[in-house]
Amino acid sequence: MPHNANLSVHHDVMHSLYINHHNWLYAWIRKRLDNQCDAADLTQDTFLRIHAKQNADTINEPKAYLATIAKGLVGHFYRRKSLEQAYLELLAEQPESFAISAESKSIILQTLEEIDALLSALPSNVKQVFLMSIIEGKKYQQIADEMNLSLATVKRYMKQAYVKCFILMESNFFE
Amino acid sequence: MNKISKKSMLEAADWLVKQQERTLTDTEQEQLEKWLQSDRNNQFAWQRAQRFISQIDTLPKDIAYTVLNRPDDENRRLHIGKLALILASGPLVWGSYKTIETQQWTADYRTAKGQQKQITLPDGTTVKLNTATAFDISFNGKSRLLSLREGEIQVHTATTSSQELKPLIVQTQEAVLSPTETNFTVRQYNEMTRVGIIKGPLKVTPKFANNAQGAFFDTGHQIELSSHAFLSDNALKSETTSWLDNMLAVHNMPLKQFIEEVSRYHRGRLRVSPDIANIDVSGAFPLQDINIIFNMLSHTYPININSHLGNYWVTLEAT
Repeated sequence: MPHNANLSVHHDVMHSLYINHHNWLYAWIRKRLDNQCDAADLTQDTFLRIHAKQNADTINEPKAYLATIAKGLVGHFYRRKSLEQAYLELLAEQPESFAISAESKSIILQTLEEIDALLSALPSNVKQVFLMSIIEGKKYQQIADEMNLSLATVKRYMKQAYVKCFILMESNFFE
Repeated sequence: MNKISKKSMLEAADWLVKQQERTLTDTEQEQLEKWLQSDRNNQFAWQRAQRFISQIDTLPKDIAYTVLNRPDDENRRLHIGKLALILASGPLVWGSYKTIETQQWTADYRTAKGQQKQITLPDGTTVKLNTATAFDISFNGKSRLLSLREGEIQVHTATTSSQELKPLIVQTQEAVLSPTETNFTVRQYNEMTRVGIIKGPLKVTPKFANNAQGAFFDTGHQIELSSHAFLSDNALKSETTSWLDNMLAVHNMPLKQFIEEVSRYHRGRLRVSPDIANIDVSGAFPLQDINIIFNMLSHTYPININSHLGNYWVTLEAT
């Protein structure tokens, strides 16, 4: 059956891709991570992403392609770590009366990670304006005053941020 | 997930900005409706936008602002121990692409007013949606998270859940629910969640409780909670679960409140004149036809029902 034949071709291509490129990719990631276990995980994750896309046989320059995906994953990895650290530090600072259950903590962290990944693609002043509006609930005029921007600019930033988030929400943002 | 056109996204963003800037005028509200009706793509984009906003609404504000606005330190080398990663380490297994697909999978489900729907999740868990309901599911490496955004659902978890699947967690604005072979209903009220346990146990945790401990509840309980505390724990009433049989059951409910309940299922405007607002209504009313409800009301209580525009505009007055 053609479908199975494709799968088996895909399997072979994946296999040789893995054999030929695993070692240098691991070393490449390792250099950027300083941690063996994490590097091994991210190396696997890079291959799994290609496997999931089922497009291994269309890759022309495997080294560049793998490195691009790995770079995205390493960036994402650091972003997650710094986010988790900031989050845990902040929780530790909270007064005891502000206690969050373990379940809520992990749900909040998960949501923060999703939103953080979306926002990371925005220029920093756009992100700042966006956070002031959607998180702090400030009026556009108030943001314009505080940031020393025109109202039109605030609106333009807001639109830019929304569109970017919508687009990222439907694609895989590491690619 | 539906592919959404760029044009729809741009227009949705325009509407959001307009809506946030100031309250829309009636004309603008109509234009927004028209825009939504004119293209399925617009509806998808708008749903995406609402999902994004309601996701943000679940976060504690000060924490979210500080964490998301933290200084950019992508290049700093951090050594804070090994964190749970997207994938657990281990030998690479070909053919596990489904896992990674599900790990990145999110899905939105919703019903319109008057509509009910049942869906089955990949693990066999069934979710029934009552009228005007929206929820979404997202998967990450740690859990499968079902977030009820509005309305009411029944969740019946599969009895034999596969070892590979992460535990299902259900959240509302106020509560975190951890089912294990459980059958329950949950409804999002304004700043309150009500849970009805048809078959327990169910662990229920208020999101920001002072004493951040969840509690286990067994079959036959009905619990109400805010994000900070449990508000009540009673025996499960048939009123809570009657919608599963397509009925609206009430017991001594003031007419005004009863009509608010009916409004959840009805597209038009229903108005109750103040002099009869406090009549107590009891009974079980079929949900599939609002005319039957009106008939039952006018036969049992001293109520006149004036209907215009094919039930779009209905006024209840004293006889």
